[in-house]
Amino acid sequence: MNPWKLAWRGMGRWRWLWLLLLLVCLALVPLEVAR
Amino acid sequence: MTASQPKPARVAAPHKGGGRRIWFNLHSWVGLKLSVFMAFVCLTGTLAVLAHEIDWLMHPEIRVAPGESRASWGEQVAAIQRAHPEWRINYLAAPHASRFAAKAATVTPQGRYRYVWVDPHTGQVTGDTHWFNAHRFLRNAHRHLMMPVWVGVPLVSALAIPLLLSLVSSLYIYKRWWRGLLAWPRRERRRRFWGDVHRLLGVWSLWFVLLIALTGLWYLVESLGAGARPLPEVPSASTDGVPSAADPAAIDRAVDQAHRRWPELEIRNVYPSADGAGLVLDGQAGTWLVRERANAIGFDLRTGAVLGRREGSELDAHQRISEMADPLHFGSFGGWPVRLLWFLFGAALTALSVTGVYLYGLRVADAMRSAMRRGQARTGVNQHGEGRR
Repeated sequence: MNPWKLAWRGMGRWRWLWLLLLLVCLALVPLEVAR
Repeated sequence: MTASQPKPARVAAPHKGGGRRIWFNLHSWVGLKLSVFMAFVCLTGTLAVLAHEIDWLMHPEIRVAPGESRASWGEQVAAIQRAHPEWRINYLAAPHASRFAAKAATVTPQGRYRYVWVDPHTGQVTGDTHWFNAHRFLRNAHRHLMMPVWVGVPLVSALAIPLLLSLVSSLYIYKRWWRGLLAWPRRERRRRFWGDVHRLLGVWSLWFVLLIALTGLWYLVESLGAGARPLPEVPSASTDGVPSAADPAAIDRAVDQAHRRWPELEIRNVYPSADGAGLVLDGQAGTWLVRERANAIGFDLRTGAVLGRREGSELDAHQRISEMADPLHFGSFGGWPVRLLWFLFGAALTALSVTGVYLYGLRVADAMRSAMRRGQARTGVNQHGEGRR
């Protein structure tokens, strides 16, 4: 019973929303660099 | 054990009374569901407080030896013009702190942004760096997640609402919270220890959480269109002619004149116009908690005439709130001691988010263990799987 894993599961669908948001953020870095 | 688990409401500490339990469930729900986003924004914001120092460590061009002498603004502009005759100077900013070079934001003929660094003591260019540095990454990631500002700023600043909810709910959950200011974490069980750490960090950070939440709320209001009206325009001469380099000697004459006419103005940035005919200077002038742009004076570099001036002390209340938000949010109003304090409390805020998630996990684990024990007691099976004889 790893507490981190339990908390991760407890976040439900929200975790995927935030992960997606952070991935978008990282994916936009090259565009910023190229400016 | 299956992946399904009790919802936060079920794992709330059972001894809490009705009202407190609702606040606890709200605190737990908000803290857990938004934790990934909240922790990211808190972490990038914390690091952004020291972003200039991070860049200083990363780029030797920014590091200079301390000295007593000071090259004039014009001499520094001239050095940049000699090193990069084709590059246009958007602005030249005073050094961030001692041992820092002055920074000029420039544009190459290809339209690329570069920072050119100048030793403020010798007036020599120390090098140039890409515009996208640690400061830019941390600022953009923290402020708008690299997204278009109109999407990213409301998204990030909306976190002020759950942050305020967390703050208010914590005061209801933690009765007589001030007693916790000196309560050192008890090293008995993991859950107790991390609970104590969470509470200790929380009570010491109350003022900071409130400050960050309120300034964040202001950014949300601003991003939704209710910001203060723009600061009065400070005109500077413009011929609408072809781009041309500003005359460094004329810049120094304008700076001298600014010192004579406005002795309180400590110049932090100079903005030569693209055609080299005009100049705007800005900085601090004794008005508390305003951005540098709040105090500005504009010149015609060809005649030396002052064309306009705005002062932070003359702004209306709405504009003052707008000006105060950045220094308060960034901790940029009192030198390195304040920045260090903001960094430490930013780290505490990040730790609150992380420890809150960990505590939730520990609570669920405890609830599961209790449920297993109860189940075993009912069926008469002990923890080694042996039935009653």
